[in-house]
Amino acid sequence: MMINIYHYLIQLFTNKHIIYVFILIDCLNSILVYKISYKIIQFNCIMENFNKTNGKYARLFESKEKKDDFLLTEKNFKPIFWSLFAMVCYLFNPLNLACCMSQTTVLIQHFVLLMWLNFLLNGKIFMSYIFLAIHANIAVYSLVLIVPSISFIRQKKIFKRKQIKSEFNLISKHATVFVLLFACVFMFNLYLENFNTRFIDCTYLFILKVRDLVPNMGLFWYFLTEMFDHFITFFIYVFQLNAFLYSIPLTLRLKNEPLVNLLIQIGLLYVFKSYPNIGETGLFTSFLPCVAYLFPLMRNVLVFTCMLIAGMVLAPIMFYLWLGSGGGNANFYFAITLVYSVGQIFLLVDVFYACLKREFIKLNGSNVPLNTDGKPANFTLE
Amino acid sequence: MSLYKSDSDNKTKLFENVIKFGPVLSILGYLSGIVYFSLLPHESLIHGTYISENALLPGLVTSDIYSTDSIFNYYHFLKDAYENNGGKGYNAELIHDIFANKLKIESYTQNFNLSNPFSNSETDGIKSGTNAYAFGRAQRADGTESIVISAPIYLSGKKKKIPNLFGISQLFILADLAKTRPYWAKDLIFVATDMEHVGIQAWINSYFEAHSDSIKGENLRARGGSIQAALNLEFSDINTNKLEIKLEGPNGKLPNLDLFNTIIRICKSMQFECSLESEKSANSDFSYYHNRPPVDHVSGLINTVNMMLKQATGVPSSLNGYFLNYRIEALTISGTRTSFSSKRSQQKQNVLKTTRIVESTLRSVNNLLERFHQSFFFYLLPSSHYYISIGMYMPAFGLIFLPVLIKILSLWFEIFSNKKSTHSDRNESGLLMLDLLKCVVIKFMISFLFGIVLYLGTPFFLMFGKKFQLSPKDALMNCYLAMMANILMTPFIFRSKFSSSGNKTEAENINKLIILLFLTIFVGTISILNFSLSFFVAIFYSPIALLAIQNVQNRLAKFFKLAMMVVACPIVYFSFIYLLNQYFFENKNFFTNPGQFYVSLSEKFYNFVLFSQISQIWTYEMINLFLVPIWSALWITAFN
Repeated sequence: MMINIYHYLIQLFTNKHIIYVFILIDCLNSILVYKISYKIIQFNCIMENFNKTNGKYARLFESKEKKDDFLLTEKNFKPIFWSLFAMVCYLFNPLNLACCMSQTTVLIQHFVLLMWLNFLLNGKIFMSYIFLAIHANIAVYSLVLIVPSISFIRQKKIFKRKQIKSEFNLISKHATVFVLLFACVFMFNLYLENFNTRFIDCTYLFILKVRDLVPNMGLFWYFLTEMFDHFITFFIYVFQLNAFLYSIPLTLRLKNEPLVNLLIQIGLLYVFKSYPNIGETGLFTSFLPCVAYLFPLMRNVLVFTCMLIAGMVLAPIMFYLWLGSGGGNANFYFAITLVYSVGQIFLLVDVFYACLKREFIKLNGSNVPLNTDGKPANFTLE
Repeated sequence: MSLYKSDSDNKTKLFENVIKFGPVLSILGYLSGIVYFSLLPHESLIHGTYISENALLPGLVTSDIYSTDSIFNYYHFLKDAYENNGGKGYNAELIHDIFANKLKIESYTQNFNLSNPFSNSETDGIKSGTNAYAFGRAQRADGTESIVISAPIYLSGKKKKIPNLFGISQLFILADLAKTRPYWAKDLIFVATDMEHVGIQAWINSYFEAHSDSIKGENLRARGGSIQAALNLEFSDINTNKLEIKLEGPNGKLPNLDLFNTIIRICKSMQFECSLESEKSANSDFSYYHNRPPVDHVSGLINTVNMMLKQATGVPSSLNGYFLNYRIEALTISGTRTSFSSKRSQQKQNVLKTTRIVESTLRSVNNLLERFHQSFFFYLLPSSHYYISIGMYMPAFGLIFLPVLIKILSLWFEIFSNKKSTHSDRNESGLLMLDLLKCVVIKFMISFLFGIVLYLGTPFFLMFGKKFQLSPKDALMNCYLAMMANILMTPFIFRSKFSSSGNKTEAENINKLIILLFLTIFVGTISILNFSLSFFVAIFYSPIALLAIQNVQNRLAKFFKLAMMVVACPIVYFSFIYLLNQYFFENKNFFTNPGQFYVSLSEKFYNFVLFSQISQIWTYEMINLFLVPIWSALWITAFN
């Protein structure tokens, strides 16, 4: 389906003008980023306010060291400023600029994803599911994003003080709606291909089976080049399992912070997918200002900043050394790709850590609890 | 302590230790880096060269060249053609004629044009030349691989052009061998190039169908498959008793060390003197032919620095460099004469040995089954028998750059570790943003604007010069110095705009951090591509950057700081290196004659810029685009 759209677009605009389409889509994306960030911050503020009035944060106010503005309110964490900052991050991120200049179709995928987020946060669930179904048909990995969506919807229902009779009913209702929509888009694709099922192999199974091992910024290609053919199927299963597996446990743990959960999951699926793209990292990092209140609580900011910068700067050079100048080999490039991916993972884990720590402080107050032997306890991530 | 802070007690201790011991560690690291680098050519740390690719088997075959008669015949024929008629008869057409009619192998000529990259009009004219190339197809091979032997028609000597008569004669001899012997597994391609660096680039670009703005050559009419290696022969005189080998390619590329080791071993087995071109103190004691010569530490260090100086400019030391762009291992063999004994028999011996050495190298390369990949691509050579690999010299570089890294860490800790939780820091963040905008962003924008003007500005500088009727080199030098003066004036002009209000130290710290990060990224990335360039930049800018960032109160110290910053201007620093290079290695004393130094410097500068534009060398562009902005940002910071 996307190929048909692209074909139509290319025919509509000549080669010279197609760049304007990409710039337009980039600008639309940035506006969507602004609106989404605004909504995210607003929702977080409402959530904390709600919990405060419910008396969940009683221990926080009893603690010795008080920070008056620790909880989010609209006054001390201005939505306008931080969502503008997120928009600026999106527009001026070098990764996104590179994507726009090279006119990749990732921008259109971002557009679909951002439309999903927009409709989800505004409450129009059906529309959001349509866009998620479209995105899941383009990139299979976004299927897992249904789980944080359901978590967010559940949290919103709690705010509206609607009683949830049965969580299982809620989950199954939404899941079936999504699966039906996904099947609809799939049927539409099938219809466009005149019911010839060959395209399944070319699109979905291509992403899942990783048959083309062109060197990219991901982790798959190097492992699979080094492996005997015998074991490839097994390792592909393990790698793909890794990509899909983190969704449900993360959602269960971050039940009370659905939006941070959402952002982490978007980031995670972009690290572990089979053909990642630097623009996707750009999209994820441009949402980081939404959770800027977590930055003071993060532990390893220097580490992952340096890793990401080093990875981004050295990756093209190592690529050139391997395939251009001939002075290096594939190991150089893969090492830098690893550094880049590990930097991203550190970033995600740090965001997660900061979120958990904040939750701990909110629920238990800011005193450092004492260990069994009387020394102050260390807060670690097990 | 509370949980609001992100770090635990252990971490704060680490921060404090870094801030406390930082300066001591920096100085220690820097000095130990320099000491470690100087100790590298010492015999305890050095490694002897060895042949990694077993297929090469250097010197194992018996030579097929028995008599020098044909060599002398060709040599005298070419010499007659050169001396009669003012040298007009000695050109590529003659060589093509010999290949086609006398040796009867496939031979063609290629015409090419060189246009001045900085002028659009035809005032400077378009120079043209002709190459001649011939193919000695292997009798029993399938023609998929080949070896290139190239010889320039004229060598660019110090005063005037010298014809490369002996080099071209060797081409003919080898062509004869290629035609008649059955043991060649690869085709031999013989290229006689015109206009030194331009001709060989025209040929290589046409071979790989690459595009160049200033050099346009005809399409080649035949090819030899995938080129495995290339040799370049430059002989100014037929009486050679020493071979010098030139390695450096453009932008700091080097050929595979195996090719170099092969030639050294073959020379050793034939008992012919051979060394690197950068080896100033050659060992003329021939008793080492069964072993390596002993390691001489001081001369090893001098040779290493000489090689690094040549590699740092990014200009290839000879024509072989352009093959390295396409990963074809290539060397230049140039012959010189160390003693002037011209006994007839001695001369014949030398000629025979030289030709046999070239032939033996080709036979070794002929044995290869795959491309050169075993030995090192990144190395430094203190002598022809010892090497320093990248694993040995990179730690020295890291230690030299340690002060900057420690400073970055301590700046980071200072910025992000003291949280003043007394007043609300939401207002503060807005003020901080404004401060940042004033302090950081404007400075960087201005600095990078200077860099971009210098990067794009060379055609405009020359145009201005033409309007004032200056010669091109004066124009370029004057305009460049004018830009530098502009940068030097910037803090005085913008003094009011750069001062920040309110939260001064935090924005200042962020500014310093970003400058140091830029310097680190620049030096780090260039160190992989052209190690010598980044070494010379790091060894000087590492202390200079820290000096510029330091806030000094004492007037004398402040004056000293500003004086050092002026010296740190890229052009001043590099001319200083040029001065030292000329003094130590070429024995030209410029200290007594500054006027002559300026003239020679501007001429060299103009030639360098022109050459970089024609041959696509990025040294000048990178320094303009990154080092000049970093220096100007440091200069502006040094004033506050």
